[in-house]
Amino acid sequence: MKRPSSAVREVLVVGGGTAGWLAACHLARQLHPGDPDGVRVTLVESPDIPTIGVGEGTVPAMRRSLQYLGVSETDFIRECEATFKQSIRFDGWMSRPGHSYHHVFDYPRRDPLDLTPYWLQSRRDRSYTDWVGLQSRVCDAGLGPKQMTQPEFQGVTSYAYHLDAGKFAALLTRHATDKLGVSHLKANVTGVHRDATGAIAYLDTDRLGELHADFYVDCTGFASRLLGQTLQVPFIDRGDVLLADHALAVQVPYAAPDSPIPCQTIATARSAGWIWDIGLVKRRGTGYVYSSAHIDHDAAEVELRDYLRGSIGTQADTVGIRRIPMQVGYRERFWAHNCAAIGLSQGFVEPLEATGLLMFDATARMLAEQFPAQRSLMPLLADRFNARVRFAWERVIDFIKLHYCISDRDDSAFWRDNRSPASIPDSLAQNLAIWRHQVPSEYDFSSKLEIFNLENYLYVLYGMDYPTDISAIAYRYAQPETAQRMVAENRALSERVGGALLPHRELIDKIHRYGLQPV
Amino acid sequence: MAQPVPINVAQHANLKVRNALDLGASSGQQVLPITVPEFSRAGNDCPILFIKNAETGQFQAVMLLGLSREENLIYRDGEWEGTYVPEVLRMGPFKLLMIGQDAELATMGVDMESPLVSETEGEPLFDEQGNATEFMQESRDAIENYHHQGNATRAFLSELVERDLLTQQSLVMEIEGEKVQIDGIYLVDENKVRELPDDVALDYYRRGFLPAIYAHLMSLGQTSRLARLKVQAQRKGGPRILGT
Repeated sequence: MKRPSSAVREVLVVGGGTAGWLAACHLARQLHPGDPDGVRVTLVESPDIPTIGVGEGTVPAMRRSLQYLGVSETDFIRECEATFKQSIRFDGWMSRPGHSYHHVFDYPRRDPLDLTPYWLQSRRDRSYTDWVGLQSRVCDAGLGPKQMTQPEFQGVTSYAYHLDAGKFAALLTRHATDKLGVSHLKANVTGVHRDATGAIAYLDTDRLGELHADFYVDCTGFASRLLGQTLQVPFIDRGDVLLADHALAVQVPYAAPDSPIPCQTIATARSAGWIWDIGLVKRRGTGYVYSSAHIDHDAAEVELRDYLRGSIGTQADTVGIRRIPMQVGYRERFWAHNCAAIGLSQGFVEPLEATGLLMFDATARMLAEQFPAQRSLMPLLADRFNARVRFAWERVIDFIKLHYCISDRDDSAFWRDNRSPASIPDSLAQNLAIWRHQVPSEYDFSSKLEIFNLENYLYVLYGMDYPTDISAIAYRYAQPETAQRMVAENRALSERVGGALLPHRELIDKIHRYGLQPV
Repeated sequence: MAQPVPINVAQHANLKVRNALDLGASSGQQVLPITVPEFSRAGNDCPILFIKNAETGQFQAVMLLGLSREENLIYRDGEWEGTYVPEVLRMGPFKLLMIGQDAELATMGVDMESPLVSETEGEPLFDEQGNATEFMQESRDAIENYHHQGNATRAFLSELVERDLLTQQSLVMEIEGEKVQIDGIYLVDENKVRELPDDVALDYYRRGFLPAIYAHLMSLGQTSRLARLKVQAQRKGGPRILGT
């Protein structure tokens, strides 16, 4: 069939890394480059500019994306040093010594009733997460989330992955080029040219001449060469809400080759930020996210080395640490003319809830599924994309801010400043005002694209003992026996489930050895 | 269950093995592994199914002998109620062991706890000079051949998985008012087989995969035979029949 000349026929993704290759995969999956009527997808990346290579935590949506893109989970686990992530455990986010809570992936049980008010009324000798589910216990017991007899992508508990960023990009590269028909070019972009309407016309490169396409995807990282530098779309800094502006990153070994692999990301609060700790198969990835307005770089490094000393001893004094400045915020628009930004070029916030890869994946899929059928639709689709993605970023910022503004830590200006009302977005403040006196509800979350929903807020609010006072409306919660029964059932279930799961490292070893069956 | 040990002349110079069938080894086994060359004969008696190994998740081909856990309806009161005894039972106490760092070397192993093994009765493994006897060599040939059959079966199963020809099922039956359910079994989807491209179908025919697929599909009717055997066994007293 002859295509109208208004059709968009060629897409050029500029930049590799996880964002570029996720974008290329999602686009190719939708646009069928192999089909004569399809859209050609090409990715051009620099052979010289390194990727940032630090993002190693994911959320369950990544599991669905890998399956949707046709990646084998066995290959992914074997090639990306991947391990299973079932939660983020927050240590030290409240002032009480030893405070720790899990934000798990499983949905809390809410059938036949919401246990939240009953937990609030209880003695709270057990955590909220323990009441409403079993995943925190699975994590604390160090067990993997699935059985060898389950097919790929299925688990007993909901899970995501910890992965090696570089190896993940390499796997996506192979998958995109071998299986999805993406063309791969290596060159440095030396110039970006616009046409009379302001759209991007073509790129100059150092070794491949001019590259022409109908649509461009900016995956050039913080530099944002197309959307930011060329199309001059301004950056909206959200440092007014989220105070951390630098990260120190380091990779460290385990104590022994058979050391247990943690089942969760650990986020440990510190004097001017927090330290992430992610366990892969043979190494850990860790680092300190901090505010340079509240601690100087050298002192931050000392804090990180102190943290590491607990696990790697004297190596903590010599291990190489990388400092990365972070631009916290997002572009005013994410799609302008014929160019959309995916990845760090679009925006970035501190990785407290693993939102980096999450946003790359979610927005890449959104772009691919809404890809314009003809040029004339681009302005409308761009507006829609911009509104949705902006909404997503704002919700992400609200949720991350939540962790800080309901903390009672008082030991440094960083923690006190995080509670200043001027730094709390109205949307979050309104929610918190309501939730002082009534439990959060499904109706507090109005959109399918909230990113973080009721269950996520419940885990963090009540992991941090948010003081919801329902004494005035206790009459609404008149089924304590049903609640007790649900809690007891949950307890029994968690014991059965625990008996059926392997220790995490053993599961990973078996998957390396035997693979997982596709069915 | 004992682990077989590698046979060596130092430890096993006086070992003897009775050259007989030890059907008792199938007591309490609801399934027995079978290889592709055995499908058509095994399928005359019992359903041939595919299940996953609980430890590794890998697929295996098995002959179904019972309808509940640890139930063997085929071997009862010392009698084998079928026309075909699977090869796994005809290997006696011998097993091929894969040793070495990457499990690349094969050596002959023996299950010292088998009733066929002693120092008094049966065929010696080594002669006075410490050389392997003819019996030992024949046994070794038999288990090596069985190992090759196992490899061919694994290749067949990989092919079924790769072509997405397997479908997960539960077997549900009612036997004299009692519900019987077996989960976690996989069968070949005959419709998908019929839709295979011509070149693949021809390749399967030549490699013996098509006959194996149809031997499996034809065998599924044997579930009713197992149901009848179960009813008979129950009427004799006791719902669970273990071999004696």
